[in-house]
Amino acid sequence: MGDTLPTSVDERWQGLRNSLAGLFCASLGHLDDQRTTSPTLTFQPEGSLPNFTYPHQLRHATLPSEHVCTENLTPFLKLLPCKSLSGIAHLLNPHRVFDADWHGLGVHVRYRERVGVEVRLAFQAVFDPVRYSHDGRRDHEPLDVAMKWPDENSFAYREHPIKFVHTDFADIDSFAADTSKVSSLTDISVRRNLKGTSQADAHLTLEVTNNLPVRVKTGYLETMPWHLQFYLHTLCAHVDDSQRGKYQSYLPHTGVSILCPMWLLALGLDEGTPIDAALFHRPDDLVNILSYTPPVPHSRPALLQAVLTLPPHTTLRLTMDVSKPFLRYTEHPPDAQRGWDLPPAVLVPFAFGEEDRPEFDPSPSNEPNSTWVERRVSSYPRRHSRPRRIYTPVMLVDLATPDFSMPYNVIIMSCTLIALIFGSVFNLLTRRFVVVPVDPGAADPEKDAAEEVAHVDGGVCTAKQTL
Amino acid sequence: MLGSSARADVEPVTEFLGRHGSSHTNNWAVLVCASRYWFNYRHMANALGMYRTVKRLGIPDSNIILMLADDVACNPRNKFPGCVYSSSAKTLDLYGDNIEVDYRGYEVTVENFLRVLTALGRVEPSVPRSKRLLTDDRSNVFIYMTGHGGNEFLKFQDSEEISAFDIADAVAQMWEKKRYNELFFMIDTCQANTMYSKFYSPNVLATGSSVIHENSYSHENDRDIGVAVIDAYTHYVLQFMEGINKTSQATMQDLFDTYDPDKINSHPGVRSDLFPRSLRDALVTDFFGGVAQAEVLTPPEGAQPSHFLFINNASAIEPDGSVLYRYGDTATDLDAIGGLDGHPFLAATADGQKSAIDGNIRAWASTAVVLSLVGWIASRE
Repeated sequence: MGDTLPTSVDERWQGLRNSLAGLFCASLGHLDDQRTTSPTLTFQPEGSLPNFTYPHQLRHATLPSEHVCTENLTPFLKLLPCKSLSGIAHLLNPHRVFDADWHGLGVHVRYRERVGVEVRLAFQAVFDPVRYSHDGRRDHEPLDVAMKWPDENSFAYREHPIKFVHTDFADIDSFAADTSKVSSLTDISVRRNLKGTSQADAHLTLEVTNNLPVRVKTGYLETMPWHLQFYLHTLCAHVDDSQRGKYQSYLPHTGVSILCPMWLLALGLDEGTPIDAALFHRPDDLVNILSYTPPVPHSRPALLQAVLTLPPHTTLRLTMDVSKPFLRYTEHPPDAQRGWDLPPAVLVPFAFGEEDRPEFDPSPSNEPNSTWVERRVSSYPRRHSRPRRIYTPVMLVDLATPDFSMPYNVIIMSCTLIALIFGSVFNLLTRRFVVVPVDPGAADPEKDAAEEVAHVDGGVCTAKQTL
Repeated sequence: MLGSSARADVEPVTEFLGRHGSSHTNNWAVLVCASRYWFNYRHMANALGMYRTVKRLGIPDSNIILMLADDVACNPRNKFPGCVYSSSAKTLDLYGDNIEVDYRGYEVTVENFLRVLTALGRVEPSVPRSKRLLTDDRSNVFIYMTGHGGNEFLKFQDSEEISAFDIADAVAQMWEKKRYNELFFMIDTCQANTMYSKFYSPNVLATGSSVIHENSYSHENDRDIGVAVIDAYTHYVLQFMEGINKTSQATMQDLFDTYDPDKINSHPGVRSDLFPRSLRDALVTDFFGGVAQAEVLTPPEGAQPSHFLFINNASAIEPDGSVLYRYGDTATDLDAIGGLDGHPFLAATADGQKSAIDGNIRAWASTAVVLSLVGWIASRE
């Protein structure tokens, strides 16, 4: 940002995203007010900050339709001391990593006391060794990453236990049948989808599966551009496909049921203030603290934060009706027919059966792998450390797209109409219509035309005279 | 060092540095691929081929503004992730290991393109330097555009168009703001030559791939990629450029002489009426290369004999190696010392006064004409 020191938070946020855009060749400059939210519950400041309770502001934005490709890796590598020439960065061959089944690139910056600014560059990728092996062999060796640091002989990398699940492929039918008993690889899995064929309404579903034998509390964040508007009163929670009750929330002081975000505005709530936890606080339910900032069409996204309680070994399903608004002609992207990418939902698990630990009493006979589960549970960070976040995949919404040639049709049509109307009115105003008796004995009507007559039609002439 | 000997030293230096006839001190390139979607792979390859060429000939990434409207390299349809090839032989990966795309995806708009060209006060202060065209009146600018176009327009992302008038006006504004010394405009699209027909600013050299009512065609298909990989015109230009290196003495005329309508399948055109130099004197590297030019001024004679070599940012180097920064120097300062030849300035000022008088006369004359016309009409009534 240089010599000019922007004062307001939003100016500095703009400066930050523009600098990041320039640094990493990404379209981050596009993270404007239509994408920026302030989810204070889900994202909490990290690093050595003066005081956590000190009044602070938070900015959060997602750019879901962004590709990550070679040009993002180039400046990333330039930040490394030896680029990709040595060390573990040697693995960052763009042709290999962008061929991976999954890849992610991260830059984390935080301030640490007495250390300074810490920048963590992260690159994650999931490779499929079978696809890479020339002859499709499956008995692959573990990835050999013994390489040299510039100043060390070799670097130590934390070796994860590599597990091979041996399955008998001859017995493929029974294998497929047994997949339901295979323990899930993740503790919490989340799936989000959008159903509905209409171009006006849809149905948003969030499925969170808790694979742990303990109750898990997790923060839930949904930052939704105004391209999808929630009907909060239709929010329903199902646990393992049995409905737990409809969240027909009531405003305590009015007793009016909240039907849609627009009602909240009509009730006199300021647009800027999030609807606070107290309004929706239902202590014994699975959706606890609901905080919602309604969207402002064409300018600000919606922000929905909640605390979900996931009972052990269950699937919590949240459903909600949403409506798709109608966009202005100029608001559509160049590839409008492809649809809009919606930012991912974020889950932040923060409590693992802590308050109901007595309930969790697995006997060895019931839970053969309880110690393993205990270990996994205890491996989760508790406090004073970086929370783990789970992001859902990006979702695509199909909004009503106009026929983009329509404006030209309209322009052409209206121009034609205006020309016709103007022409006739102009003619009516500037011409004088008189009846001219035509003498049948006159030799040539063309001779008369030399004076004034423009057109002869059935004995009546239209005389033209300029005003 | 005495003044006379200094002057004697200057002569060969001036001769050495000034032999090209071009007075630019830095080179910039704006490379635009205006097409979105996978089937326009070839347009991305066109722009990336030019990117590779200008980078190979010495223009650094900081002086190249690359605009790519889509990402074909990491497109799921690309069988070769992270690679863009411009030939079916697939010997040369254009996306490679070291590429910086400044504007990409939805950022490639007519508005952004015009803001990049005209810039200075037209972009937000926080926009990074890599997204700005920081040229001056000693910059040679190369603008390359490719995409789908028609008579006097070029489509951006299938959703908007830039017209030949827009580009001509933007270039005129660049000239007024002293943002280029010479400008080379190259465009590969259907009816491309119409796009440069509206230029009216000085020092502009332009070339295009096809005449009006004529299509530009792709050069070759690749079966693995599944679409055409490069356009014919750009292919043959790049083929010529592959034989050029940083010290090459090939001229623009040599480049234009290689145009073969039979091979390109269209009739490329050149517009040089705005370009003051002969095409035989204009080197290809004047626009495609990052050749740094130094300007030599005669040393000031008098009390402080020193050897001034003004390089781009007006830093003066003394013979003993110390560097004098003379940012504040004006013509009058130097004139007072007695070294700088004031005649060109005086001539320019006199010229300016003359033109001012001319302007006055013209204004009075036109007023008189208008008044007499009004009077004549009034007398008729």
